[in-house]
Amino acid sequence: MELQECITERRSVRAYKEREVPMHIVAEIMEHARLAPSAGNSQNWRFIIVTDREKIKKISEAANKPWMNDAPAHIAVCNYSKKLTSLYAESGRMFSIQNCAIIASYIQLLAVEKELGTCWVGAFDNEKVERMLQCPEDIRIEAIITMGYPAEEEAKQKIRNEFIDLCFFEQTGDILCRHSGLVKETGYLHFLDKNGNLARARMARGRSEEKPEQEVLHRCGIKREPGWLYYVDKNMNIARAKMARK
Amino acid sequence: MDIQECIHKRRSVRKYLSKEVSNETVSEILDIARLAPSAYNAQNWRFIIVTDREKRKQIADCCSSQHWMTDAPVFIVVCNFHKKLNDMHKEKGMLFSTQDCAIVASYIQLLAVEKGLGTCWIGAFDNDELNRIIHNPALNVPQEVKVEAVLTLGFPDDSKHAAHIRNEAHDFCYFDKWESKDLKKPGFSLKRQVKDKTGFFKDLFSFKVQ
Repeated sequence: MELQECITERRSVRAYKEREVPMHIVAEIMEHARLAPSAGNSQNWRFIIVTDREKIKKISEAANKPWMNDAPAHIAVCNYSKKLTSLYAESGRMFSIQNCAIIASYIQLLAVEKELGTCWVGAFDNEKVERMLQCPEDIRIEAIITMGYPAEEEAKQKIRNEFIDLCFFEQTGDILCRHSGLVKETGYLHFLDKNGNLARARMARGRSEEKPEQEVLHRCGIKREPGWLYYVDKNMNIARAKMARK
Repeated sequence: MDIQECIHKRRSVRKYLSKEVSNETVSEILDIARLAPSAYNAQNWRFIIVTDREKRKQIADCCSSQHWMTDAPVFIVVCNFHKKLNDMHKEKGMLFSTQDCAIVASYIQLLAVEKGLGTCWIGAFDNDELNRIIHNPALNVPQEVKVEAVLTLGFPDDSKHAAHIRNEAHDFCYFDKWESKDLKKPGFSLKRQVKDKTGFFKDLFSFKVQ
C-alpha cells in the first residue's frame, strides 16, 4: 500500500472483531519495522506480544479501558534504555523514548496495510503491567499498541491543525504567497502591483521617455490591508510586515 | 511509493546535492505528516523550516559541529510545544509529548523518501544554544517551545545503499512475558561522546518514572 494512503487511513481503532491476528502477519510487520532508525543504532526496543486472554484482561484493567479487552493482541513496547543512558546520560533517556516511538509508529503504519487496526495506549499503570509481564527492573513499557481487525466500518474525519499553523518560517514578516520556482533577476524591479499580483519591470537607466513595460509573474490577487508594508522578499515570496508608524 | 519500500529505502543521508528543495515539496510532506496520532490529539509538534545558509551553519555548529549538515538545503527543526500535555497529564505528559514529536518526525522521514529526498535525524545538539537561535523575534516562536530533533532534508549525493544492520525480529519479540534472550551485539558504534545537555533534558526527564 502507498505510504500516503497508510498515513491517511491510519486511525485509532477502539472496537475490534473477535477474529485472531495471525502471528505470521505480526512477524511480517516486525520484519519491516525493525529497519527503523535509532540513536547510535542502539535498537533499544523490545516487544512483548500478548495474546493470552487472561493477560489482556489484566492489561485492560491496568489501563482502565474496557474496550482494550476486545483486542485480540496487545503489543507492549518496551524501552531497554540502559545502554543509551550510560552513553549519553540524560539525553540518552530522550533518545531511547524517541527510538521506541519511531518503531511503534512504523508498526502502526504497517498494520494498516494488513487491514489491521491499532490504538496507541500511553496511559496505564506501569507497575502493574510490568510486574505481570515479568519485566526486569530496568525495562520500561512506554506504550501498549492494541491490534486487531476493526469492527467499525466508517473512518472518522481526522481533526488536525493546518500545517501552516504548525510551521515557523525564518523570513521576517508573514509570507502571503510563496514563489519557490522564481529567481530574482538583476536589472528588474520586483513589486506587488495594484491588483495584488507579483510583477516586475525593467529598471530604467538614465532618463527615458517610455514607461517601462510591466510583466506579471504570478497572479496572486493579494488584497492589501492598511497598516502593513507589502514587499517581495529575497526568495521572491510576497510578504508583509507591520508598519511601525501609525 | 509502497510503505515497505519507503521503510527499506530510508537511511541516514549525510551527503547532499546542492539542488534546492522547493517549498511546495516541504509543504506537501508536512501536510501529510500532520495526520500523525498524538496523545489526546494535542498535536504538540511545531516545525521551523530553515533554508537560510547562514542559519543552517549556526545550527550545524550547535549540533556537535557536524559541518556536513550545512550542505542540506533545508532543515526541519521539530519542536515540542509541550505545555498542554504537561498540564493534562502530570506524570506522563513529558513522555507523551516526546513520543508524539518522534512519531511525526518519523512520518516526515518516510514521506521524504517518497519524494526522492534524504533525511538525517540529529538528536545531539547544544540545547541552550539552539533554543537561543530559534527564539528570535523574527520567528515569533512561543517560549515554551523546545527543540526535539533537527531533520536535515535534501537530495542525496550518493546512490550507495548501506545495508541496515539490525537485530533479528525474533530476538527482540517476546510472547506473553519478558524473555531473557542474549542478543547478538548489533552494529553499535559510538564515535564521540556528545556534550552533556542540561536545562531542557533536565526538565524533560524530571517526571517520575515508576
